[in-house]
Amino acid sequence: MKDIDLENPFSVIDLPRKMVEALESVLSSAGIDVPAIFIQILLLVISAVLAFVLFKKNQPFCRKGIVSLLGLTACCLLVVSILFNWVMELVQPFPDKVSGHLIRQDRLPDNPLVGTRVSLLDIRKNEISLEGGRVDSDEGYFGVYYQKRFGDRPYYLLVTSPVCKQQRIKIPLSRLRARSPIDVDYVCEVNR
Amino acid sequence: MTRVLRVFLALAAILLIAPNARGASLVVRGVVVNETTGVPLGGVSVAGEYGNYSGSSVTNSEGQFEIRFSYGSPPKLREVAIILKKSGYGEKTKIMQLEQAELRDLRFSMTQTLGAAALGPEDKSRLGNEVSSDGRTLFLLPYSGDGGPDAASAISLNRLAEAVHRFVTADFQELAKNASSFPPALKAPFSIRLLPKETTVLSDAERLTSIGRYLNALALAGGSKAVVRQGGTDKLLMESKFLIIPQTAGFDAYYLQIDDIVPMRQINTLKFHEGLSDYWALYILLAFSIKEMRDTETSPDRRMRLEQIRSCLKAKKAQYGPADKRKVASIDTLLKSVEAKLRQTGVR
Repeated sequence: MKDIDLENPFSVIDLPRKMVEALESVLSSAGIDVPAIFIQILLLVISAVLAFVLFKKNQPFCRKGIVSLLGLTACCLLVVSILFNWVMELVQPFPDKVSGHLIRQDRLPDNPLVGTRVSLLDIRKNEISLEGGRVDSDEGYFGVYYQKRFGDRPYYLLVTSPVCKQQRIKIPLSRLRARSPIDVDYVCEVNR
Repeated sequence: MTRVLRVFLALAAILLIAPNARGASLVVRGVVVNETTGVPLGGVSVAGEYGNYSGSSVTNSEGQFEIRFSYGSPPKLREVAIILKKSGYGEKTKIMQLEQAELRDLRFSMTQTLGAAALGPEDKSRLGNEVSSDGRTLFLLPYSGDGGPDAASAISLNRLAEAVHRFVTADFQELAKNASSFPPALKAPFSIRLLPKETTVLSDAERLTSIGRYLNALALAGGSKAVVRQGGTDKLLMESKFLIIPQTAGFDAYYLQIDDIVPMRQINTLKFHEGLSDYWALYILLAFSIKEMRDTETSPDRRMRLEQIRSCLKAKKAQYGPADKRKVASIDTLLKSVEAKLRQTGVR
């Protein structure tokens, strides 16, 4: 399987969110399959408590070391990030449908989009799509409806074709929030 | 008494809810045609998916189908996927947006793949890298006489390809000046590529057509060449067969003949192309026109594009005199077809 990331990997602003997502992914791969919102609440509580302890410990700030101050900053950033994402999700909810295009980049004589399907996966790589998923073999258009859950979102678009290798494409949060189409340059690697 | 009242109320609630829960249905109607000829296709298996509901149908002799989806609660996704399958044709999936309660007068087209499908996996693997992405490539097959020890074999196909390309480009530029409107498709670059020797033999028309379709070629050409002595000078004699690949209604893939006689002293100069037959330019123009006619089938600016083809063909026809009956006849045949298509679109 080929993994494709459409997000900007060097975005510093997204770092705390990516840390939370990474933790969710690690817990999931370790067999701890709990909803994302629980992990976020847990992380929020731990970070808030840690931030409070560090804040108390560092009073007045000038007397303590830089390491503690950095720890305090990191915890605060994590708390702010989680709260920010919740607020954003309340103010600007994710759509319940993901649509876009697979834009063919191959010169194969047989159209690889014939019989191709897409589905949505959450961060634990579980399928969350409910309806749709067929890909228009001429236009490459697809639309998938999924079950929305607070604190969670579709993370991956799984492309399955009868002739090409399966591809997992990471869905950028920005495009999901903007409700803009997920257009992917699709390079079919033929199954041998 | 209270229990009886509860049962009564429950029954009343069920009766109130029942009309809303009663099944609704969605009807999808349309027609399936052959993409190149426009002829309705019967016996096409049409499957439909509306959310998690599915239905299927088979087209009648007029290419018509109807699918009825019966559902309890309507799907969230307001889209219907239609999957078309027919032996000898490429499978197709179309996603239709559901903006009204019904989808009517849908028109789908399917492309015949029998030609390409007739090729074996070895052929496909050998030719796979040669497939033209834009259908604007003339493929040259090795000429008999290549590889021998005589003077004719010393003239490489590359040299011929360069000369043909230069000749046709110059001719199209001239046409663009004289035509009142000119198809942009003819202004865009085209290419000429050489195919390996073991590809096929020219006499096998069916196989050649299959290869052409597989390669998404504009045309295929090949033949024989020899050096002959005429009037005290050595001349290169080339007999080429030219096969136009794109199809449209009334124009299936067909063979054309081109004879070239070029003085040998001209071959290795920049004027090689000037000695080539005008049929090269004419037939490539015909091939592009047929391709363009086919491409206009689903185009929103169909009328304008057809008028451009007509103008271009007329400009080419004007280049010929009374002695060029064969050339004029081949243009006239295509012009008639363009006129007929224009009449269909309501333009005079």
